[in-house]
Amino acid sequence: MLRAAFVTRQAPHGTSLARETQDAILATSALTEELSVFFIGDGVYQLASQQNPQAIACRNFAPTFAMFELYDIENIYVCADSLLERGISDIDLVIDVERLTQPEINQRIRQHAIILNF
Amino acid sequence: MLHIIKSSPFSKSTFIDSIAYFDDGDAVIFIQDAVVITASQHKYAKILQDQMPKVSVYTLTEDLNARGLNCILGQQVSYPEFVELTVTHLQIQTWN
Repeated sequence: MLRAAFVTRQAPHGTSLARETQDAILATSALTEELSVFFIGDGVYQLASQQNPQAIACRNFAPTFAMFELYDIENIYVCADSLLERGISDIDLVIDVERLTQPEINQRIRQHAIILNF
Repeated sequence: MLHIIKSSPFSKSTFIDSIAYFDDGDAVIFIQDAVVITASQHKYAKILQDQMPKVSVYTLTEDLNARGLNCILGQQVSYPEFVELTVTHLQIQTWN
């Protein structure tokens, strides 16, 4: 079993939860490499590449997802069904992520001992 | 897997979002504002009922009592029984 799964379901900028989840993932990566990240539900909006939140006094944390590779976080998945449901299957994402269907995401999450859902 | 649900389905979509992640043999416990789900007949109670052959349903008694509500679906559990559920299930997912 893999160590930890981070499931992130919040849209960015409305609250700080999505940004703080990113901080938690980066911090946890110092402790284990057996870590996966799942973007599901509104969480898929975090990956949009053309964000400009400075106008609403928020930090653009999407480019920081590129740090995942440097931190050896390699298991990154996005729910293709969530993208489709929101009509954004074809937008550019900030990083390379594996697209899985909702049932595939569910199955993959269950391969982890600890599941942290935000 | 034990799913822990905490918010009212009338104000947040958390409960509806979580359903797609329920598998056969999973357990679901409703705590905090989510106890409204099992406390009366409404559209979300119906949605839960459709899941009930697949999952065991629990609601935290203390949170029901605090709100003056009664459980009509699944089983009521106390805090110590809730703790036991977290121990007997290998995997836990809290839906924030």
